[in-house]
Amino acid sequence: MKVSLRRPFRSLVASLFLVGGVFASDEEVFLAPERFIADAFGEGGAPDVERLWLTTTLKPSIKSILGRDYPALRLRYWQRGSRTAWILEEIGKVRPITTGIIVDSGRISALQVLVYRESHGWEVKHPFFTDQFQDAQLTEGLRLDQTIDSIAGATMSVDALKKLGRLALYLDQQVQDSADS
Amino acid sequence: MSPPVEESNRAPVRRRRPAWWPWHQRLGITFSVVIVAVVLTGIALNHTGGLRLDERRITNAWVLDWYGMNPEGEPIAFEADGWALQWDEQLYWDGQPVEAETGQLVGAVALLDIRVIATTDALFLLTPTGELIERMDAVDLPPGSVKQIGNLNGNVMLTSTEGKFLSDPDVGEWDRYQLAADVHWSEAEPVPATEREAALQSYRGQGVSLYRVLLDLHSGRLFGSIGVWVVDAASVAMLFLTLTGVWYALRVKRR
Repeated sequence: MKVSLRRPFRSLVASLFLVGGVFASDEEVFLAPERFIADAFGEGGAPDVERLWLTTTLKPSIKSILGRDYPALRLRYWQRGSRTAWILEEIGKVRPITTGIIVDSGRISALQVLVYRESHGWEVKHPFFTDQFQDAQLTEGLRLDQTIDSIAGATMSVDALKKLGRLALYLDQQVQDSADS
Repeated sequence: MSPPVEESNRAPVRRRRPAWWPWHQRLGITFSVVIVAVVLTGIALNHTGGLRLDERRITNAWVLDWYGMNPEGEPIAFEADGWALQWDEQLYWDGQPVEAETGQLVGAVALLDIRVIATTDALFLLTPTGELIERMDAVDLPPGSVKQIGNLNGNVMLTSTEGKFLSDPDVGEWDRYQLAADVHWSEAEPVPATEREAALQSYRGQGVSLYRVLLDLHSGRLFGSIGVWVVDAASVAMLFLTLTGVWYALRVKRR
């Protein structure tokens, strides 16, 4: 952002943008995604990365989960047997929350906020919240079979993580089904 | 004995103006433009909803320049059957924003049906129409910071701080590559005027609202802190003109 001091008003406007920018760029990395993947499969280390194309078959379900299309055509994931790991992003209020999710035998084994960029709602990073996803499964209606208690003041971030939990379970179903067929 | 002077023949009584009267005139003239602007913008702001001031956007280049809505520095661009451009940390493909704050743009290559933009921290795979296929970062990129990207027989070649790496045709896996080969490395090119203008338009977005401009004109902030002081002075002058005007009108009426 250009901060010109030639005109005093420009510095005022620039300072307002900068204040916004401070909030906008307030990125906090709780766990590096590569560290999450390295830890996700225990001592054997992470398997090779695989990729799932979001085809026209998958897109309607993904849209019903997120309320919009996922902003990419291809997703990376890691798989060993019945265990898959995903790094997914969903916007909380204005900026994406990067989340790592491990699914094992169709149940969420772990959900962890990796990178948080919003100015509010960071409480969702705490285990007291993310532990609620443990063992959650996907219903036929593409919803979680467990109730996730919300956090006052972090509703949008909570909703974003619930969507990502559902999305990871749905994507896991797809890769497990394609492996079985 | 002199005859009585008739009332009608008397010389008109010249009312003495008070000492401050010249100041009343001077201040009125001096601040007339400011007072008119403050009054008119005040009336408009009172009817923000009816006049839809919030919805009306100003995209005039002069106004946006005045507001300092310009990206910092100069853009850099790479051609790959389309233009990858970076300006003030924002990355664009053919004038459309891709991502901000993603490291320095180092190049772009065109594969058969994938366009690959490389920054020091990430790779962006796009369709020829600019739809994002995938964003690759430290999790699935070769180690090190990306320094250079090129095309080797339809595959992506990367030079990072840790060495050279060649991708598979899907740009999903990387192998270390040692051989010297005929790689077409991506090189920065002069930024076309159309791409520069498209990026500038995207950066400026929808401009500023008319409400914002009128509010800043009303408060004087449109002209910086000096403008605020001028409006303050005009307000004090308006108070002075009102009080002296009322006082003088009442004095004349009493006589």
